[in-house]
Parts: sequence; C-alpha cells; structure tokens
Amino acid sequence: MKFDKSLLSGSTTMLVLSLLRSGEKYGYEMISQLALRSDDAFQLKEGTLYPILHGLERDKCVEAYEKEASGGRIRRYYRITPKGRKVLAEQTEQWRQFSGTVERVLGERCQA
Amino acid sequence: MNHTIFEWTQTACAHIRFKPDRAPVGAELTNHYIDCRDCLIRGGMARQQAERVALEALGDPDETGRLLNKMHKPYLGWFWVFSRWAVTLTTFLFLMGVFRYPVKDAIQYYFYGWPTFFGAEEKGVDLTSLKPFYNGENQEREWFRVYGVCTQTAQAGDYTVSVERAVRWQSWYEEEGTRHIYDGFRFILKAEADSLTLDGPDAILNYLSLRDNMGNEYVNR
Repeated sequence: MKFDKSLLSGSTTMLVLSLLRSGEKYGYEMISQLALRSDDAFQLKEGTLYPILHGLERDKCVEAYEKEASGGRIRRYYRITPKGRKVLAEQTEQWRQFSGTVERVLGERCQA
Repeated sequence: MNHTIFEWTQTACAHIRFKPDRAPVGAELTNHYIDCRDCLIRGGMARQQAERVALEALGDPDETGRLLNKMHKPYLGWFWVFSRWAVTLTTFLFLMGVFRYPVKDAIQYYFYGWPTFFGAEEKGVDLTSLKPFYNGENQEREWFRVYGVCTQTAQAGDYTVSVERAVRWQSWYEEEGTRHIYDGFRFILKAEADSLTLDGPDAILNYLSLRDNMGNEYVNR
C-alpha cells in the first residue's frame, strides 16, 4: 500500500534515527532497509534522505565516518549519538500520542 | 554513464553555497548511485537498465541540491573552519607559553689552546667559575657581563647563553728533547630564546669568550 507523501514527511527524521538505532549504516542501506521493513510502503528518496542525514549530523544527532567498501570505494557511514537517541525517544513518544489521538478521533467519527 | 552521474552530482552540488562541502557530498551521492546500480545488477537487471533506474532513483538534482544547501549553510561552514583554526592556534600559543620552547638546545662549541689559560689551575683559577660573555656583533669590546655561579648566563641579543659543562684537559708531545704542552678545555654552550622566529644562534658564537673568577679573559679565536 502506498501512502500519501505528506503523511510520511513529518516522521522521516524519526524513521531515519530508528534505522540507525540497530547499528551504523550507509545511505543506500538505510533506504533498502526502510523499504524492506515497511514492505515497500516507505520508499525514501535520496533527495530526501541525504538532507535529513546531513541535518542530523549538523545537529549532532548522528555522526558520520568514512570506511573503505569493496572495490576500494570510500563509503560514508552514519551512527546515532546519545543525543540522537534522546531525540528519537522524544519523537517516538510524540508520534504515539499523536497516532493514538488520531485513532480516537477516527473511532469517535465511526461510532457517530 | 559516468558522465551522466557526474552531471547529476555537479548540478545538485552547484546549489551548495559552501564550496568546501561540494566534493564530499558529490562523492557520497555518487557512491549511493553505485550501490543502487550494483544491487540492481545483482538482482538480475541488465547493466544499462540498472544504470538508468539508479539514476532515476536519485530524483531531481535541483530539488536535492536546494535541500542539501539548507543543511550546508556557508556561515556555519566557515564558522566551523575558522573555529578549528582558532583552536589549533590557541593550543599552539598555549604550549609555547608553557614550555618556553628552546630554539637550539645544547649547542656544542669548542675553544682550543688559549695561551692565557695555560697554568690556570696553578694560578688558582676555579674552572667552575667560568662565565661566558658577549662582546657584540661589531666586535667592539662591549661586554655583556654575567651574574650568578654555575647557572651563569649572559644575554646575547635575544638569546640567553650559559655554560652547561666545562672539561679541562692537557696533552703534550716532545720534539727534539723539548716537551710541548697543550692545555685547554671544552664546554657545552646552551643558547635559549622564547621566539621561534629568530635565526639560529650560530652567528653569536663568533663573539663569545669566557672570563674566569680571576678576571682572566679567554677570547674566542
């Protein structure tokens, strides 16, 4: 199932941080894992991912380092920082409250 | 292919106003493209098609570039660059102040066979009382006197010079029944200065001589 992009846009930072919670990753790996975990429902565009990653790096929520990949290429990996974990916990809590509230409202409308 | 991905990254990165970030961002996006392309090829897609799909997946370069530019503000970038330089410079100056960096430590310099030194011990000269003095670069006899014992120093321009250690020796040879005695000593001279911008102290060594506790002067020749 494909979602309206606007539904995703507010939560992309949280999704990116949650992907990094399980370990360091490079850009393409993140996009692939997100697609896999969501059964292709969330397909993050590169044009969205990298600005988010660079913004998180600037805000010290993630840190980047370079490592040699196969073929001698240098890949840039990202890992979550303690500050990033804190931000993720806050955003996750906000999301749960928000989605719970939406559910409640939708439930009330259905009952009505 | 390379030309196409090159163009894509060039277009995207041209939007980033902080120029030092363009190359690393371009490299990261190119790597992303290669990862995507290789993955598609491994999945059975033909190379040419995989390249096209991977490039399309990158999206619009202008839109991506504009978003990246928001994350790479020039003032933040330059502030970061200047901060690093400032920290490096401050650390360097701090260490300079703490350690009073010696420009040239323990320079060995030798004095040989001064006639006036001959028989110094018999005359009651205390070798440990030797003090260096400096008579100026113009070789006029403008004395720079030294105070203190053992830690005796002389100021020679911007340098502080001192005798770290002195050793006296005597040797002789006989010629036609006559014994010729060679009497002299060596010392290690130390020259220190607080500034790294000075030339080495070699030039001042030409004007250094010694004076003992009896007032005898041993002129460097």
